[in-house]
Amino acid sequence: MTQTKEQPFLDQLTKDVSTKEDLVFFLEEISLIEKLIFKKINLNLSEKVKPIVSENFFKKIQELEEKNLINKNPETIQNFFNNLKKSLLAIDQIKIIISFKPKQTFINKIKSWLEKELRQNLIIDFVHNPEIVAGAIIEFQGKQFDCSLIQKIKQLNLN
Amino acid sequence: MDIQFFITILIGFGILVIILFGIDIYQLTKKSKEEKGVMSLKFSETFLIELEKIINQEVKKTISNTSEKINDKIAQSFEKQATSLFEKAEEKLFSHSEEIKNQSLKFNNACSSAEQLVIKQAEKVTEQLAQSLDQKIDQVYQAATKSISQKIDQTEKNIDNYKKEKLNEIDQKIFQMIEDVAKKTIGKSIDLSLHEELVIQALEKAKKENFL
Repeated sequence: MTQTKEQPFLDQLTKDVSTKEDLVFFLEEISLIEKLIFKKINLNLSEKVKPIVSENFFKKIQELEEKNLINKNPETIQNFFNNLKKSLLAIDQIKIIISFKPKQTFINKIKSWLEKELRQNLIIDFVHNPEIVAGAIIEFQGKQFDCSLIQKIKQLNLN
Repeated sequence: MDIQFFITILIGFGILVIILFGIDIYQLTKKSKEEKGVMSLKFSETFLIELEKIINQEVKKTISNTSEKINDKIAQSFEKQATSLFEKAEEKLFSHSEEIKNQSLKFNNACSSAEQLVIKQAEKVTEQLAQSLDQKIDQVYQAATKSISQKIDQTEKNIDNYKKEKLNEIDQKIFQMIEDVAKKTIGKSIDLSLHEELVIQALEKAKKENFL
């Protein structure tokens, strides 16, 4: 499979999506942009979407325009965002059930750990469930690994 | 008409008498003038008596015939008139009978129409009453249902709130118990850094056991 000119930038954009929440937010922003693609075609996309997307996403679109990955042509823009959506939806997800609400620093830490240890870009689906007390339950590719404290307590009780 | 007939007969009879009297005078003129005068006088007296008798008889006969004819005519006339009257009466009777029939039919129709009208009116009124009653029942039912529904909703909300409150209390107690157990299990209380550390440990263990 030959790598297109836009592929490195698609990879970069997808790497910015760490969690499932990020993915949902990102897809919503793409959906908003798609509604404007065929309107006011004489304007740059960044000018059209500035009032409706986040600052971060606006900067990314500007960068895309600077690198000439997208232009004013609506078909080019539509193709780029279709490819971006496909790339995002193709990323594997890992579900991590934890007993606390994770902060961004912790999310980054986990993301880094996964990239370093597994050499894989994964989207983390954090689920907050206080009932597990501590530790984590990990679900990946249809399997579950329970390393929660409640599980250990149950095992102790059984023994 | 019968009187005219009678007069005509009398006139005819008078003419006959005059003719006979003329004949008698003519025969007397043929005889001698002396004989003629005496005989004529005698003949005239006898003749007159006979003539009177004949006239009386004829008059009686004529009167009788005329009377019979008149009676017949009257009878016929009566019969005719009676027949005519009877026919007219029959016609009138038939006509009145038809009229009565028609009026009766009209009356029956009118009665039937009136009956239908009354029935329709009664049905309409009944329907309106039924509708009105339905509406009233519905209104009462709706009001009652709404009131009951509101009370049920409120009660359910109260129960839910109470349940949530109690479940929260139970959860808190359970978490407290679990915290205590956890503290005893790992020897210290769990803060955020320990939570994070335990998650990393879980990931490392998963990798070590080739889960990841």
